[in-house]
Amino acid sequence: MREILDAAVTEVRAFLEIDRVKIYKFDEDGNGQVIAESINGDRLPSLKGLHFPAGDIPSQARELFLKARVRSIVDLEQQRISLTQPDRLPSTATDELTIEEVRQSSLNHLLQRPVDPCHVEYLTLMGVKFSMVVPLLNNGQLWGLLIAHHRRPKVISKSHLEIIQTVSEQLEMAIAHANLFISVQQKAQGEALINQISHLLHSPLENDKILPAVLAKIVPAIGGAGGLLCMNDTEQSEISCYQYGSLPNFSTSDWLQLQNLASNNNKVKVINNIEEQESIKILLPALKRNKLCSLLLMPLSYKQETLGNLAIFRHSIDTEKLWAGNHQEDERQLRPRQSFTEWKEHIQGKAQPWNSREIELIESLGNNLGIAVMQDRLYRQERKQRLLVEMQNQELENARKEAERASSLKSAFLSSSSHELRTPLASILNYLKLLKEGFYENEQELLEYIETAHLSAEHLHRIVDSILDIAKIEAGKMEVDLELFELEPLLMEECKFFQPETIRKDIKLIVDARVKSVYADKIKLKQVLSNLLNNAFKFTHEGEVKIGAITKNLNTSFGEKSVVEISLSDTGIGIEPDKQATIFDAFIQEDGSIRRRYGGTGLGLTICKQLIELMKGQISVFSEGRNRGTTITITLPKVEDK
Amino acid sequence: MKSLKVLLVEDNLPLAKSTAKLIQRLGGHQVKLTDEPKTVFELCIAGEVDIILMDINLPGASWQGEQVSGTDLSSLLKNNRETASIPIILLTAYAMASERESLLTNSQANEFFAKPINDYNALIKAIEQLVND
Repeated sequence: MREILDAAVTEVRAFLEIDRVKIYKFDEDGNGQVIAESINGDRLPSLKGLHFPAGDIPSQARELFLKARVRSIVDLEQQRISLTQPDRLPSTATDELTIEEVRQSSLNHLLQRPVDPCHVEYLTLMGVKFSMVVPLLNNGQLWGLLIAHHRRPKVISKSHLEIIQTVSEQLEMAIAHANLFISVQQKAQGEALINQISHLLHSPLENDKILPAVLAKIVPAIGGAGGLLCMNDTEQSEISCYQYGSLPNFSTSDWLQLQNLASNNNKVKVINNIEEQESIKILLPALKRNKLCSLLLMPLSYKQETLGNLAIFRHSIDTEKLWAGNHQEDERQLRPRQSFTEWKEHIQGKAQPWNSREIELIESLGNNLGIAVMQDRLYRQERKQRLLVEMQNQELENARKEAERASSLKSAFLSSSSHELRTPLASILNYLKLLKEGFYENEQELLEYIETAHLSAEHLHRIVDSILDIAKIEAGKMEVDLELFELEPLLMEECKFFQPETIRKDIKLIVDARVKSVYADKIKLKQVLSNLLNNAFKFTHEGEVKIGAITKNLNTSFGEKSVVEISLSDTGIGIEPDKQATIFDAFIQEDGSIRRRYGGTGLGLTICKQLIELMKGQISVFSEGRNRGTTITITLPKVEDK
Repeated sequence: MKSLKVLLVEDNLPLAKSTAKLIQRLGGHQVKLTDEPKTVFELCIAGEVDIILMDINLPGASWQGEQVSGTDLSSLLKNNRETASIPIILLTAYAMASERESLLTNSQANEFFAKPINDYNALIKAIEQLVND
């Protein structure tokens, strides 16, 4: 493009044999810059690269260019103006005309006006006597001007003018091609970006990994300084914000203020200068400190559902612009400026507005993003549902297994119960039969049979009672009456009850209660302690039995917790380590020799455990092994005295 | 009828004593009591036993360092050349009819009686038949 324009000005100048040919391009503000120039030696000063303010070529004049095509002032002194169509008389006087008038009036009428004296002075100051201006159009818009200047008056022949007209048309085509090429290139870049982002969006990562990466890609691609992506959570209650680039450290609620600025219709909201936004006034100082000036807001949605917002910020920039003379000295432009020597303007905090291409790109990206986020959301919901179903199935499966286990435990219990009941029953029946048949030698043997049958019956009775207790607990029919009561009197009562035993076996019973009160069912705790003390005395032949109670702090997963710990230690026969795990199971005694030597139903500890658990406590056993004593520890929740 | 030497392997002493007394008085046979596998083997090998009544539940009984039940002990006896010919009747309080077959197969015992024994005459008849066969 540059080369084409440079070549064009050189060729045109050589063809017209003229002092200067330049191409002047308008920018968005209506200002313009000389972007190509060819001059004949130093006959005229170079203007290349210099900017001219919009006021130099008033809008009416620009409208006139669109209408009249090539126009040249052949001789400034004689004010002769010629046109491509030579029958028309010239005029560039525009100051009393409005744009509307230019559009409405006939060209004839317009051209019959004298040259604007202001324009005459302008050209004179430039040192130009001949001026020819050919408008260059692109898409029906005034793109720029091809301007020829000469120090002396000059007449350009009609045929030359026609050639210049053709050249300018060629230039217009070249400009259109170049612009098309740029826009195709930009489109391709945009599509490449969309592709890259789609790729990211469909990667198998979680959204909270993908979204920051997407943001990091979009922001620089769109020429942003920073970006913010705020997503409403699925439950609408939580908002996750992702930040990229140089943004102030705002809280989520601050960022949410921005969302209020967004439009509701899936369109980008462009704010070229945030200072104009009253509603985000409190955010402005921090944004300005970060030199953020322009803002793009893209609502992310899918169908009617708003998913979040994408905001991209742009810095303001400080630039320098070279002007042809300081046009700011006389802002009203009543008179043309007196000098065209280079004047450097420093522009600070200039907003970088967003162009339509960028806006289109963001809209497209925003739509893709909305769809991807929605997909992810649906996928997660679906997965959540699936997990929920899986968990429910697992729960059902666990419940089924638990029921099966309970059922098999019940069968085992029933089978054991049957065995345990039948043994004393068989004994009773045997002795009754011996008595009935009269199979005794003497009265002593008779009494012995009766006594044994009676003992077996008592044993049977105890087993039946215990089984009924267990059945009641397992059926959930055993109720506990929890209350806060003093522990020591209860322990002393137990002491008194076992006193005959301590004397008979010469075993000391020591009570060391360092806990004032305990929260339990008084009667059932007494039953448990009696049972445990009974075991302790039964299995201890020398030494001592000790009951201690302390408060203990436990570290649980729910934090520290206070419990009351009651422990019963004896110096008895102990329990082998491998038997300790099953000692609380129904009908389990450490082994058969224990049963033969010590008797018992094998249900005592089972009942103790179940009762303690009903009281929300725990029971455990510890023994270092055979003949090394046993300690049973009960922990109960600590409840403070109110 | 010749008096037989019966060995009752039972760990519950009152039950063992009363069962022994009833067999003695009702059948006229001698009954020895034990719950030690070692004693069982010794008596059997010494020819002191015509028939064994075996409780299958013998918690704490061990043979050569292994815990054994009455079922195990029965099987050990049946697989020992010196004791294999001695008939064995299992006695059990686990009166599960469904277990009868598997118990007899596992123990290789000859007969099975549930405790409590309702019909001592039937037991004595079984004892005599098994010894005479």
